[in-house]
Amino acid sequence: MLKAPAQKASSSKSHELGSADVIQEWADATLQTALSLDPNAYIPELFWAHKTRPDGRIFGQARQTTITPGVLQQNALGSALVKLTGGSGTSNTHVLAGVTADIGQPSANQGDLKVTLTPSNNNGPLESWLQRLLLQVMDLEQLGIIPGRAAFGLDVTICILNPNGSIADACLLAAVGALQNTALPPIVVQEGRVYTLDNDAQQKELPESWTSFASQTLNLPVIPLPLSMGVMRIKASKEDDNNNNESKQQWLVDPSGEEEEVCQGAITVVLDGLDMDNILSLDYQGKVSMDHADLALALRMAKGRAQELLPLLQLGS
Amino acid sequence: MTSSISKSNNTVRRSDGRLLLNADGSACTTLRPLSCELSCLQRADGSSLWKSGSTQVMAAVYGPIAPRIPSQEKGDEAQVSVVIKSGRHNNANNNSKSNNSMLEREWEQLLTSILTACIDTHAYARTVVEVVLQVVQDDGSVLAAALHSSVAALMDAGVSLTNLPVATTFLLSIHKEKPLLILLDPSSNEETNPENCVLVMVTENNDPKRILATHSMTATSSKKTKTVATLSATTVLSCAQAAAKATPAVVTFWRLAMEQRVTRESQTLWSS
Repeated sequence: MLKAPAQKASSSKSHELGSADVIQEWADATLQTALSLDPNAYIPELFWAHKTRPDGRIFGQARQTTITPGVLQQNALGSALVKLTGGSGTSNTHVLAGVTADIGQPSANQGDLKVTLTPSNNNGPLESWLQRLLLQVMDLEQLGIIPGRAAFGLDVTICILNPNGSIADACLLAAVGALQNTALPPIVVQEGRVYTLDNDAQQKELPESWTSFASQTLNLPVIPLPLSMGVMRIKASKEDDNNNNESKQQWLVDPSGEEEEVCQGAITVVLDGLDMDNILSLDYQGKVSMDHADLALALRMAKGRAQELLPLLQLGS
Repeated sequence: MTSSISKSNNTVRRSDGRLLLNADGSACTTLRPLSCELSCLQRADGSSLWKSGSTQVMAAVYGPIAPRIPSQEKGDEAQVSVVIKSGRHNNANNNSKSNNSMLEREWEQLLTSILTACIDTHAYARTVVEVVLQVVQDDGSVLAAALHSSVAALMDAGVSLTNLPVATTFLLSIHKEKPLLILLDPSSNEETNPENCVLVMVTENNDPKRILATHSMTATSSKKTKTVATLSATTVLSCAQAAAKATPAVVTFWRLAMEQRVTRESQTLWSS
């Protein structure tokens, strides 16, 4: 990480403003070293105390979010790639989700949905949270083929390509984007067996008497939209506060990886995009506690974020 | 849900016999009877058997002890490790992980975070405090019982705590045409009803208005044909206020349990 500025200082011919470049490089190198040695000390002092963040955002600003559906064309029935891109390009979270389906025997007239998260080390709780949430929002009855005998079982595989903060948000958005993009294949039922067809044209060629179903896209009656925020207790600067011992809590929207390590608590709120008063999930954990005003603030911020995210998911489908 | 509520003598009761509605129609919320037995295990440094109605959770605390895995060691703090065993045997078909065992992984992470915030970790640097929980009987509100049981066991073990976390479990349910009912301490069949919402709020004893953790298990909202209980911002804030009021009840109970244990021990040691 440390660059050696000494080299450039000697070749003064190529740089007219050599000294300014040198100072800039030295400043960058020192900053990198400081951040990697002790982020706990430097991120609050250098950035948060001055109301800014390492990637240049303000406290209430989330990273730019892009959701690209249909990126896996060959084997997946539906897929989506979610990118949360930080300002300077150094703090990006990338998550890819793909949906495949198997036909199996259900217990009731509904299909099944299973979430697998890779890499799976330490991600058991996240996998369980995503599984619970998706089971709540999916209408599993649309996956049924023959009541009690055959139904689709969806396998949602979520791959965290680049974890850099707010992975729960990115994973949920990727899963929802992939499900919206999913088209169940056309099927035909013959003598108690179910066969999948390659495309709708084949389905139309079949005799009318055969039971067959055209391909259908999944209908999501509820669109879950998440927001993750981190909380950090920082000492108020001397100008703000008469009492130096006072430390106030600062909330950060969409913390990046390095910020998440320094944060002392994290809250994730998931709202229904189609009815933003409906909270689908509310999870807070941390070393510090929050009061009711913080809770109300988090819920308000989640609504704002849901309004930002909703057009992204409605366009993509 | 009508089947969990029976009418007898014009009083509407919940499935476990508690009153549902007051005479004026407002929700009557009560906690189930609590019971706590300390030092029930010989080998553990601290242990407790916590009962909340029919839910029973046993906690055993080992620690502060030296970490078995060197990477677990933290230079300036104690590491808290929570393991939940539910006693459910792994089924033959390992393909479908039972949802409950995965939920318990989430609870382990949540309890680790809450206990790390409440234990005076800087006093026990480079050690591990291990909490092993066994769900003896599951009749709803298990997460709260697990937390209370572990705190009782930690007190029994003599681990110093900077704060006492109290978990309050809320059940949001629709009862006929009444507006959303917020009930406390649901039992198992109230929790598993897919139309109901469960919200667990953990508050701290030092300032019950502050929240240490929340955990939600909301209703299956895709069934649009029936009305389901939904969690809204005002409901969450009402729950937070109710949690602040319910906190002292559990703390008082802990104090009673500890006082009994201390007097019992001192009688054994000093009576002669």
